[in-house]
Amino acid sequence: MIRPGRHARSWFVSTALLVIAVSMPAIYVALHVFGGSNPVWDHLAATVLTDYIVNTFILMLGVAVLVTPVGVLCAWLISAYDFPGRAWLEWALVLPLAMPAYITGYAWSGIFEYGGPVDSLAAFLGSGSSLGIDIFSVYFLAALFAFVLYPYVYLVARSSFARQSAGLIEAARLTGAGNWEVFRRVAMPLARPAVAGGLALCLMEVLNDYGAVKYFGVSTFTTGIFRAWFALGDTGAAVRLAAVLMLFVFVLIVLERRGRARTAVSSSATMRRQTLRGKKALLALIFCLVPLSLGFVFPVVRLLTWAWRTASDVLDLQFVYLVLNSFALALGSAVLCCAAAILVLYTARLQRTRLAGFLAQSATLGYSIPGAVIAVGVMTPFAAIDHGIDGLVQSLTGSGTGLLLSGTLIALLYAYLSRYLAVAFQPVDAGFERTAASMDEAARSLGASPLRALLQINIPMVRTAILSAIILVFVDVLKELPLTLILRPFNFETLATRAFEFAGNEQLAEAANPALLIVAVGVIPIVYLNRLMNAKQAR
Amino acid sequence: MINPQLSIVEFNGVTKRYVTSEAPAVNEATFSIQRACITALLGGSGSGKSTVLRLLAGLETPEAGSIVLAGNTVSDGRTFVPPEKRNIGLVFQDYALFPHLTVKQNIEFGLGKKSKQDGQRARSMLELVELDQLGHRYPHELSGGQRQRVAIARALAPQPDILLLDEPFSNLDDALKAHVRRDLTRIIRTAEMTAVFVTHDVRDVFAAADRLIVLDDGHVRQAGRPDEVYQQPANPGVARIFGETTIIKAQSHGNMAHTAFGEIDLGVPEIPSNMLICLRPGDLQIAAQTESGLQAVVECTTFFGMYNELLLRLTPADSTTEPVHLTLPLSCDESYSPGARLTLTRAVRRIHFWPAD
Repeated sequence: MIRPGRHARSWFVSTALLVIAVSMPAIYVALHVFGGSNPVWDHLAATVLTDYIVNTFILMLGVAVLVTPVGVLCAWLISAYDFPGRAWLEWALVLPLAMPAYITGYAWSGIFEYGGPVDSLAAFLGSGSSLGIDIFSVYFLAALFAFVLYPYVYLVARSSFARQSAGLIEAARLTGAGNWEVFRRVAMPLARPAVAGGLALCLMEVLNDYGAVKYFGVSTFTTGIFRAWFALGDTGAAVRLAAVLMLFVFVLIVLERRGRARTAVSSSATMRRQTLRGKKALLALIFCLVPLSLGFVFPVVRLLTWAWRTASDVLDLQFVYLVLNSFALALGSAVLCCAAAILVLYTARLQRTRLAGFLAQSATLGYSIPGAVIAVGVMTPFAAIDHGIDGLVQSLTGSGTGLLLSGTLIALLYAYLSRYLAVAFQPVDAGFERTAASMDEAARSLGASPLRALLQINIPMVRTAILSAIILVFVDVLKELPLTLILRPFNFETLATRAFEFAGNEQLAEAANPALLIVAVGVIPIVYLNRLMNAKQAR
Repeated sequence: MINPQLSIVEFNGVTKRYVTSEAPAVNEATFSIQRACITALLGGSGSGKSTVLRLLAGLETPEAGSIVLAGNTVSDGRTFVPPEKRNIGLVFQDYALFPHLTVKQNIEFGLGKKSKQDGQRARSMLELVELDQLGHRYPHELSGGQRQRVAIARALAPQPDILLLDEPFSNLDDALKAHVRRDLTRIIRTAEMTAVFVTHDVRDVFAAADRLIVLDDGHVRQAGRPDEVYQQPANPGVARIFGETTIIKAQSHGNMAHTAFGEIDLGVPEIPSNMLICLRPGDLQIAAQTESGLQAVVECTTFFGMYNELLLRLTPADSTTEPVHLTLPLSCDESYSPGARLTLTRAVRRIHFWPAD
């Protein structure tokens, strides 16, 4: 440990201030779990709160029941067997992550629409319209979420299987256990904590969603927050709803952290894959193709046909502005989050004290918290500050300042920082972990200040990690919806809000263009990170 | 006492405790390091030797005591000079070469703008470590030995007051080690540098160090010239650091030492009435049966190529004393069959002992 000299102290102070700032929205909301009585809240509690809770539970349960077998079995097939298509399925199975749930939802509603593919199929088969499936129900929505979110479970299960030692698997095989036995009795129990962690991430995404639940007319906490905020105009009730939602999230955070803490099995030798042939190979291929098709291929095809039809109406100069606007916002937030992550992690590196480690941990909490909650936690205090300043200035000078923070880009960037710092954090942290402590110490012993060591040694050494961090935040911000809807300045549009508005006006075909662009950008990190991973394995 | 004019480092009662453990890693260490000498810090793992180096470099903060470096107090209760202001050169065990910089850029990292521009300093450093042609290479394009020389050149480039090396020989295989030891001492002497290195291998000490500080369990146990410390270890712990040591109790019997295994002449006219005798493998030789000496039985003879090693069991006259084992090097054409009875006498000028009460 290098002692906090005068330099190190300023690092620590800036980190502490930053971490307090980014955790503020969540803390603000959490403090309102047990607020006083409020007529709108009482009304909500008496009428719709049960609905919100029941629907949220059904969604979470349905998603959990579906994503776990789908994600784990795909991961096992990819890890333990070799069959035609395995190599590209390995990364293609992650593709649904590029699709925000609301966009997949729009596409599926198009697939089921009157005169659409499913309808035609039903007519052909002579069954009722849309095969008797009611898509505007909580059960269909749960299935939809499952096929968008299973990659979270797939990814953690796959990496857990990859880390399991080949020795363990071989030892199990030598005792005469067949593949299914090996999976059931060795591989799966070892992967269980990791899978629980991945499942927790899925459920956090379910709680975060606003676009899909709104479109499918399922009332949950997020729709409730929007209703209280925009329709009833009661911020107090919105904050209370957000606070109750956070209780759900808290359980998931504990689950996820425990999952991560207990996945420390590591080994250099990975299991050898068995080659499948004939019918078995075909079955494995089909099993993996189903979630990929439902979560990515079919929706994308639907969007493409729409986009083709409406391109001439939608793609105008205004659309170009929209794209530039969205990209600039996403890039700005990505750079901001990345810089903040570097500051926090470098301070922890300089100090290596428990307090610095705790600060770094706290900085990552925001990602678990739904965007709508963060938005409420930013908007309410910012509005109060604005009114305070405005009132003060008005009483002194006679003319007010208007809104300085709320309803400006500052509020939006601040909220993105609070929510997406964790996204930038993870790759940068991993990069720093791989950098030996002796690198910093060598630089310092050669006369470099902490700042110079950071700029000339640490940052160049983790530049790939920083690039990954920027791409990941960029994509997340680009597809973000609820937070942006609440905090965006008046008349400020992003690709996501534009798609949401088209869909809200039943202009699904028009929504396809911005939606497809979001998906296309979302595919970039999947392909890029996959190539990065392969390059590492080859080395 | 060492002349303060000559000492470049002073540790006064320095204590350091890591958060993770109860016992201090370094416990009230007091010693000094002489200018223009190569000093070895010797100790086993967990002895605190690396921590001493890190304290001196400013990479750790002591919780008590003071450290003086080149006449300035760099660390005590009130002041703490950060590592970048200490003017020390540090060579890490893993060398810590910056992977994204070339050899030349690595060496220039610690130089000011001016000496960077004319390139003279980097050139002369590359010459010193005999890597003149490799300045444009990246660290991953070098062999282990070359990397170490780059690390040394980089540490020496800013002309530090003292060069610190953490386990400089531990990453090398035996064949390379002897070569690197010679190289390293040549470079340090050519640069007229004060150097301190940490090691757990006594052969490094004898091959490269002018002075030795022995650490054990966080305490400084002994300091002095390596041969002095070897011949007169302050206590059994220090003696054992140098390798196999058999310690047996003895009483004076005239000028002979009387033990449970027989009598032995220690080569000293006056001996205390009670003592502990310190026997190293080379200290004894096989005597004629008639002479008095320590009584032993052969357990086995092991062939080691250049020499044979005899494993012996000292046999006590009375049955209350436990037998002890010791080894004796023999030339490779000598050997004894198991069970043979031998008498052992002093082979060296003097056998070391500690008075006991």
